[in-house]
Amino acid sequence: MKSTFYFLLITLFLLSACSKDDVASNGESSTNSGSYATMLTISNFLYVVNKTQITTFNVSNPGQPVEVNKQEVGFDIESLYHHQGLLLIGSANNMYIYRIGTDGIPLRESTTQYNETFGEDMCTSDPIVVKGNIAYVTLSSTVEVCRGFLLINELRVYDIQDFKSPKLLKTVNMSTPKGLGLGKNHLFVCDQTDGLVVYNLDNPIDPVKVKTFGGFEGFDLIVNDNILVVVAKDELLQYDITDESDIKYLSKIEL
Amino acid sequence: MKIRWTNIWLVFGMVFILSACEKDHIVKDGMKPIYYSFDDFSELRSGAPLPYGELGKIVTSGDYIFINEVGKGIHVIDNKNPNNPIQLHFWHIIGNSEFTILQNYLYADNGKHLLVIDISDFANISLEDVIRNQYQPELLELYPEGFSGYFECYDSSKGILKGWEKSELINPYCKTNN
Repeated sequence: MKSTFYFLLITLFLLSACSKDDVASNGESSTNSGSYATMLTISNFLYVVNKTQITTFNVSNPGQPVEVNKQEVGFDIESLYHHQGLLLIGSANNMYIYRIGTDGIPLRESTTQYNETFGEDMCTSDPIVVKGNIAYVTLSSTVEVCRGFLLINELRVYDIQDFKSPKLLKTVNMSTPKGLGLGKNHLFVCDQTDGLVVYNLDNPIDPVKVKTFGGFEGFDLIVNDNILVVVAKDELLQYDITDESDIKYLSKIEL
Repeated sequence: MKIRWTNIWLVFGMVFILSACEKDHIVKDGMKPIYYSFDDFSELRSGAPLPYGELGKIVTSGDYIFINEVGKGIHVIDNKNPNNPIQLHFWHIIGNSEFTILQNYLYADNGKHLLVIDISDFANISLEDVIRNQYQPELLELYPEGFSGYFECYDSSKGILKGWEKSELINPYCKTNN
């Protein structure tokens, strides 16, 4: 009886040690990236997109990455996002979805053209985030960059449950949407004109604008638990999003 | 005598040809780019915080925020207290716009190569490895700002633009609009 008790005690001790280790290793890999990221580390791999390709490096030894794969993707690639074993790549014309194979190498599952009518003649900047089966994409184009192209500025909602064939569910007009990120029940979108726009996601396929924080040229953001970190053109702003319906401005570093 | 005359005609002919050549050359005073080689890592270092110019990509890791200063490097911010973030360092990485962090290593581009940088000591970073030719230098149409006239076109394959200097230009192709 006594030995069983000790056994339980030791087991408990060991288990608690285990969970501590887990926390520590999570702490090490607590790197978060803005939605315009083009490099991500996932388990032992580093994925890097340049304008046209995705390259996979083995980083079991982080100081000496070893290239294991390189694939052509498309043109004008701008962003790389990871969601549950999928890599979503945003380019000026298309959203590409890759599935990470057991060997760590991405395999293409689908290509979704943003504009079927105008084909490849798109000029946008378009990061992607995913919640559940829903992908949110911002498309933006400005006159300065896209002279002669069709100007599009919108937030798009895609159903990617079948990631081999994403479906466009909704389009929301915006001024000049840039980077975006997800809270518990809200979508935060940086806007070069409007600053930071907050959408309620009670119905995930129908984002409803609830608040705008202006006065800066929003570029990208990161949600770190209860803190929202926003990068504007030449300043860094932070908000407390513990209560997403009552977001509080915290601080700013500027020029 | 005969030979001499031939020589004179030859000289005449050459002078004529040379002058024709010279007419094809237009020499103008203008500006030419100074390049910083993609293979020169001598200026990679951790320095004092810098003011924000044109901010780019952002990464957070632990209690720190890292923000790219487009083409120049990375601002390192201590964010233990989000009410009062503190600028700690600026990591000078010429040509940098993309990066991420894994444990004690920073992976950062310089426009052409992927650099592996040891950041175990934020105040004293060092180059660990270079993975070459991971990026195609962008075809940028850069011009000397605040200058009006002819300049030698910037060629991104030659390196990162460091600045411009006055120079005599032969047959310049590029000219500012203003």
